[in-house]
Amino acid sequence: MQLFEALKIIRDRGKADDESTHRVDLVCGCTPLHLRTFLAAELTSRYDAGAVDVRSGLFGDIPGSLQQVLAEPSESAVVVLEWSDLDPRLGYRSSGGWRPDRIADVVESAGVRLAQFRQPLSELAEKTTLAVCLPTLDLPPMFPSPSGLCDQAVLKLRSLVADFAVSLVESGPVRILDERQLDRDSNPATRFNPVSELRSGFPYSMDHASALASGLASLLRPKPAMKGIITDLDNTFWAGILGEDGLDGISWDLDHKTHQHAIYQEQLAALSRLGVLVGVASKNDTELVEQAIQRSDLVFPHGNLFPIEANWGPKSESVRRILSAWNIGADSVVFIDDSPIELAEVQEAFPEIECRQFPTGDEAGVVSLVDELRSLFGRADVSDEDRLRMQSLRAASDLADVEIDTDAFLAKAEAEITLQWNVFDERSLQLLNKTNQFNLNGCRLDEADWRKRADQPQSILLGVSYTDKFSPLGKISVLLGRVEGKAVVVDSWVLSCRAFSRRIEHAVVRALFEHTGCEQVICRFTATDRNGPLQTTLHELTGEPPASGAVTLSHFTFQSNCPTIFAEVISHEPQRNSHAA
Amino acid sequence: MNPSEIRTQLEECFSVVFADLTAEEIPTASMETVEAWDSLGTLTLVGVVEQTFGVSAEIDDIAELVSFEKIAAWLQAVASRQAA
Repeated sequence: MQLFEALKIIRDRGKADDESTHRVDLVCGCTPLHLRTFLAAELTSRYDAGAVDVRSGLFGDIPGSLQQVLAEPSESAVVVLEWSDLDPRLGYRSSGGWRPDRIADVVESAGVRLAQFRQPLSELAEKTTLAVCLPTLDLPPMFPSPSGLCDQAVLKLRSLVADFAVSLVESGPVRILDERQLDRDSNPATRFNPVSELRSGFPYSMDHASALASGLASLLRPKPAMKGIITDLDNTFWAGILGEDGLDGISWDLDHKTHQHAIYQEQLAALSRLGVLVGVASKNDTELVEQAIQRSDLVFPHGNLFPIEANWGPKSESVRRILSAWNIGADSVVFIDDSPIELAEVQEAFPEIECRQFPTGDEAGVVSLVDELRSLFGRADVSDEDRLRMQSLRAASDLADVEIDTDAFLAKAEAEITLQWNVFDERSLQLLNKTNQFNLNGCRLDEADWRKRADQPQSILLGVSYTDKFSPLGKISVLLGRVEGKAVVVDSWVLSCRAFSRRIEHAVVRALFEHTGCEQVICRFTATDRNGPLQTTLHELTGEPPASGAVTLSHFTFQSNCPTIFAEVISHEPQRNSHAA
Repeated sequence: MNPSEIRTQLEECFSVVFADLTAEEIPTASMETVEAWDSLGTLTLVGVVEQTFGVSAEIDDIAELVSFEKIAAWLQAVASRQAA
């Protein structure tokens, strides 16, 4: 935050009467100057209404300031300690103290001073909300060790401060600013402003003062912790696509170089034990998911996943049911998925939800994500009630009706479907042989079978690629068929589960009618244990549940039952006997 | 940045540091006429001006920055030096 911005925040909030003014005590040994301004601005922006009045104490006299505050505490207090507050010789504004023979004395006096602070700070914490910041600046170059070698006295000083922090936290509800977090927000090398320190007694650079104030304000007025995580499964909770790779094909371990998914599970498990709700929204087969989460090597305790929405419908519908079961608002929930389009679809339906893309294949990205999750869900105190929340929700789960506008979302997806006729490539064969959910009959072909069928007269080989404004999915569907009289007979047809809910299957059928001029599409369908999504599509298009055998779809019936296809469809001219590498 | 732009931005700076000043009072503001403009006010004002204009004031400069007009003139001189 810039100083101008801070002052503007304070000015724009205006003055308030006594009752609606939030009073905060700032105790520090330096001139409070810009730290006071930034603290007032940060707190002002964290309160919905009312002005913030930051009252500062006496310059260079922390014990005296603490006594003042203890006598008449405000609604919250901030205490900022620097090394020079523990002993002036540890600063730049006193002279004659940087003597090797006095270092032991400096360490001792710092310890005595810290001990003097402990009692009043503990008392203050009982009376008001108290945030404490321990030294953030470097020690002065007064120690004999060469650069790079940690001096014994320096280690002792740091140890004294660390012990002091522990004793404070153990003595009462003191909130200590996390130095590691501050390190991220404020570069330690540029925190000290010697000009300002020597001329006005304010030792901080403007950026550091701003970061310090922000950190302290967040301790006094923390954002409410998020309550629930809704996670995808494939390529998120685990590596791989369950429907295509099978139960043994998904992984989260070092051997498969997929351990980042174990780290993700680990964090979800840790948060779950703190009372955070963890649900699943996955485009998957329910039974298969049930089997997968029973795997004994799962890091996350599967009993803590609730609810599990594994189906082939839009993710927003699953999220809606999960929110309803949890009975919490979308603004308390983070939705995590590896697919940009799924994230966008959910975000469109629930603008308040926090969406995060799972960085599949990016170990550093996963570490960053789990760190952020800890930040979003972290809480200082965990009650038994928090831990029991999931159990009670499980018992009380109930669904509510909220309309999800799929048409509106698809209309804005800027989708493009590319149809490529009669081109053979290896990806088509792979897709045909590994896709289970949307597979017309489960038949597998080897390359020779494939080429033989494709080379027959009147054969149709259709490859389908998809992209939208969120991400390209590449080739996601393959269809193999032939023209017989006025009908197209479809022998094989698969669609990757990554591409469900985009009406690609409808575009494919429409293209068959338009491309061949036929009046019927006859699907050589066989029900399998896994091809439920395909059965659902045939049911929707024909108006009746499909039976194994020839499922006939007339052009008229298709037109009557086909929903609006929003994607732009690009059809490459048919080629005969073309074989791509 | 031309003199007019400098004055406009400087007026903004004054309006946040000395929130009680009216728009009409700002161009004639000085340490003598503004009660809230003490040494602390100077440091705050200089801090805002430095960040807003991307300049750095030396201690000798700060001692001279005692009115709106003087700060505007100083900023114009700095801008001229940078442009040269």
